[in-house]
Amino acid sequence: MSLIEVNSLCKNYRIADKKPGLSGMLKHFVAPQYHIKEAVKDINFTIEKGESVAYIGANGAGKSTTIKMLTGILKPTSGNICINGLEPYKNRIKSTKNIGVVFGQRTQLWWDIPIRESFAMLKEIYEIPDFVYADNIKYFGEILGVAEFMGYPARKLSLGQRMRADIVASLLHNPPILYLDEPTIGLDVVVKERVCEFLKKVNKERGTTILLTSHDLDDIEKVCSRIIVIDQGKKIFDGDVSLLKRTYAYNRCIVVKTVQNLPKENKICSELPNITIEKKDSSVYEISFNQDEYSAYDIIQKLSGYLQIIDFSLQEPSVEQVVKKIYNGGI
Amino acid sequence: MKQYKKYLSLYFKMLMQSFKTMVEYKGDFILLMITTIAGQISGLFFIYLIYQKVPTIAGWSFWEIIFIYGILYFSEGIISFLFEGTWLLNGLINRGELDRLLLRPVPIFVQVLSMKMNFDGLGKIILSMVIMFQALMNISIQWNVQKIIMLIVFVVSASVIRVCLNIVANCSSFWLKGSRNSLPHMVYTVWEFGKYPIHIFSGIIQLILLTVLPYAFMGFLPAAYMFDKPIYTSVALVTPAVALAWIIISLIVFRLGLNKYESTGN
Repeated sequence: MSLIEVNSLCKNYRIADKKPGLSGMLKHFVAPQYHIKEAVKDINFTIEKGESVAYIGANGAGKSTTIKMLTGILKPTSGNICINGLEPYKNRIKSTKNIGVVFGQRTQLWWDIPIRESFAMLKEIYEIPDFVYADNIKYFGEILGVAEFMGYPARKLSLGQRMRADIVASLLHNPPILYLDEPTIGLDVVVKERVCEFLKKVNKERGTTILLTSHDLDDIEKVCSRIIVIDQGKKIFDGDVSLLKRTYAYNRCIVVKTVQNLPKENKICSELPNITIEKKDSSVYEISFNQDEYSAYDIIQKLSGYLQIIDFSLQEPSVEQVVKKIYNGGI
Repeated sequence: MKQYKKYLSLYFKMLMQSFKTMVEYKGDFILLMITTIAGQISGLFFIYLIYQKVPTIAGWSFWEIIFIYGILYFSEGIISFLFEGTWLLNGLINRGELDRLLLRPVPIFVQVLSMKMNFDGLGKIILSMVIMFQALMNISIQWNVQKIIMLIVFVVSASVIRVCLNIVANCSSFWLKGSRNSLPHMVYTVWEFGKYPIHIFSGIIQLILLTVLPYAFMGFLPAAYMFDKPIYTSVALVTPAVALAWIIISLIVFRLGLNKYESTGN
């Protein structure tokens, strides 16, 4: 039996149809009308112990809804979930002991009391034995550098500090499964790096199964080996991160602003095979290239031989692009 | 059983954390204390003023009314001291913060109730006991063992009923979902009716005070029993049963409400 089993999972929300303005509000009050939004449609997957899986999709694709069902916060409309042999919504109290959860958007810690005391409360709540607790505080605290702000209440922490504290909090009871919903949202590059490194380490050293949602492809590559892509509530890809990358997220893109039109387009193309140049505006060009073939430097160097570049920016492949490509690729 | 003991100890530990939170905001704490004391003194003074003009209301003397006030006030103290978290339910639902509680291996009921502690509740409890004691001293009562036991049973039951009523009223947020819910406040305000002998009101109000908003059980009926009033004394005896019923009602309503919970998008 797999650690996480999800079978034909669906979740519908009932959304109120309100017309704008006061009259609309009154109308809704008298005769409310609703429509059904299918947030998650017939999703199936299984996750084995020790896997690290990314769950990606554009905003509103149904990522958070799925996580909330997996954690037992929301009741599925239909379908079933089995986690470590338990159905989370029905056995809420038992199954919460098996999981650690981090929400990037909101903290699990007590807002007004020092982090140290929040941790101590969690020790009581999860009935964590003294030696496990001491060991975990030391181990996680050291890697994530939590010790320096243990005396501060959550409300006084910066976003990066709060996220680190939240991650430590979620792991204190040694859960076999860790869910993270947008754990790197709003973090700066340094903290992001640190969080990703940490998650990888926990997955490797402790065998903690990780399921994280994100729409940053960069994080996912660092932490996860498998990826599930969903769009509009449906699963559209499930497989290796490297496979996804090779097939769909190949290309990086440089947007170049020049003073003149690009001369000798054909010549450039012949010198740098496999790149595509697209004219976006009178003097703005978008050049896509394979990151295994060229570095951004190669492209810029070659281009600057032909024309005067005023400005350029480098764009990493985004989840939205990947989703689009999956559709075009017809999986 | 062991499980319940654990929840009870967790409840008080979480309550202590809320207390620490409260003391962190010192100014707020002191202001709250002052306003509560001032509010209650003016309430008592109002009753005193009425009795300056009218010596009895429907056969009830000043001190008898003060006793009703005392029991009601005691239950209010219990709510603010131990169950103030109930009032937070609306915000928790509206902002989707119940998520956080749902992720912990502790019943939601325990977590919500222990989320806040108002220390002024302890002041209310002490003040109400003084009021009740004063009232009982000034009324000639035929004391016997049964009455002493019933006094304790009544005070406990009255508090239980009030706490449960408050929980049920606040649970309406599960269905209403708005950012503000005025229903619990409306229910709370009805306590003004509970301060007086209910037979001064019309039949329909009496019925309400005995059923949906059972404020009659939180002061008047116990008092009627204690002072051997001609009517309602036997009705008073069902008070503990009513308390038990309300515990069950509040648990059911809470469970039904939780099934309605939809979290928020993020």
